[in-house]
Amino acid sequence: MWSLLKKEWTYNSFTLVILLLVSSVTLPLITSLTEEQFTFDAPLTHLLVMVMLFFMMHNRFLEKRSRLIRLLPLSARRQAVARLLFQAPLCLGVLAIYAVDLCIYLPPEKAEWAIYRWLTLGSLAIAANAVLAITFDLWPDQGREHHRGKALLTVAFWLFLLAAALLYREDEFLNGHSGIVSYFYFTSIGVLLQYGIALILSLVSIDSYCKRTGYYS
Amino acid sequence: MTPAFEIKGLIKRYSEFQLGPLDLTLQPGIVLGYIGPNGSGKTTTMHCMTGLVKADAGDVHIFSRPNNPNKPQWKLDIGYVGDAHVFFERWSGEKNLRFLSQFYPNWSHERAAILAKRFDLPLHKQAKDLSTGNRVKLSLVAALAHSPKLLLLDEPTAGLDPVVRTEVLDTLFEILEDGERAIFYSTHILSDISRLADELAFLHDGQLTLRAGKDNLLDTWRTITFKLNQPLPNLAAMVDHRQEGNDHQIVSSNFQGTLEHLKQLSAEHVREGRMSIDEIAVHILKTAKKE
Repeated sequence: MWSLLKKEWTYNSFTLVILLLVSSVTLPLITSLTEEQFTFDAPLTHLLVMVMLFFMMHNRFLEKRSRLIRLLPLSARRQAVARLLFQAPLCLGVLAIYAVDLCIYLPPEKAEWAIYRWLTLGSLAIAANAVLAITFDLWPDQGREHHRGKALLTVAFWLFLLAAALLYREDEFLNGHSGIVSYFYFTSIGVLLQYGIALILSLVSIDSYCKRTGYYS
Repeated sequence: MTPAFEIKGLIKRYSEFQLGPLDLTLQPGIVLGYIGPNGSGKTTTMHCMTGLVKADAGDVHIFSRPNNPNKPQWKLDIGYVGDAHVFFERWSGEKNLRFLSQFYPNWSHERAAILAKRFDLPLHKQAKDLSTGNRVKLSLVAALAHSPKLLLLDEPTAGLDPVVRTEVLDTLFEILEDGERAIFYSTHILSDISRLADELAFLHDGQLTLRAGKDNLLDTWRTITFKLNQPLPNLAAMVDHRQEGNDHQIVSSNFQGTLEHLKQLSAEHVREGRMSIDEIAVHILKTAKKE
């Protein structure tokens, strides 16, 4: 098991470094090219990064690799623990990306407030994400309905972010200091919404899964 | 005798397809070919058995153990090769096998090495660099190295060109011909399994249409040609019928009964011909489709 963990973590860490680089380099590059404060560019870049993360976290394990692990003579519980461990570096990575963005772009006068929010939402997001990932992996059926549900959830989330960014990019209050504040504001709400919904769905499906497979017996 | 597997009332529903209710049992040492066209439910059956998919109803027991995901000991008795051959791509074949060996107490590195040699498999190569044929071979080595009592093969040679497919199957059958284990082999290409199978189960549109011993099928099915100077009534066990004037050619699933009937009809120039198992299977599947 250790060899598998080591491999997954190495892979994840490598991917995260790339994601961090993308996140950290692309944003200032766009700013310098456009000579504008953040309004709309940051969410777009971040969107790209998060979409990549999402697909990496869920699809990778959901498909082939998940099948390999599911066929091993491990109990469902041990498989869940294994997946939780796989996800750990990625969850930390999500936080790291936010941290890098914050350090680079946040106006100093807003730092305390934003970091507090970041920590709260980040923790929630990580917890929910882990549950989401595990649920997707352990979902008894990996059929079309399942994929459709997952895709809808993702699309809804990003549409929300995009709409919010478009609607409020000119807002004086939110953009008064920096567009990044409004960006983080809506990203946070979006993340919370997505994971809130996912958490409820996960809990419901985990409960039903456990009942059906005799977890409680 | 404890069955290798026992499926009772298995049902799996999808939006446009339902498998079952399916009842199927396999005794140890028997090779059962699971034959059906694409989309008939073969893979769904395998997935329900291995726990990759949760059935909506019914039970699956592997050597008397329910396929409960929380008590995975039943998986130790299974060797499974599906249509997707999944590995850690940047690991060598050897490292992939070493990883899998940790989960199977009966795993024999020696057996894995012997199998790899017989398959002429380059174990030092990373999985991503293996050809499709070699990936199939690696899957087979992984499925056989712990000497499972039940081998589930779900179209393992899908996607291989005929030359590689024959090569893989020849080696596989040589290995499996010891008759020690139960084998459940699903395919839509009957020639893949006809050599090895003891029994055949035919699946159409999620329903088991026929299960019979291969020898029994070979003994009872015949093509019969004859002349008849009157309209042909509906003969018992007649599966297929062609006519040119007074010349008839029929396929019968019970040739002795049919010959008896033809005798009563005073048919002339009656000749019977043996059929290959492939020909029989085609007629069984065609009939199922018509019904």
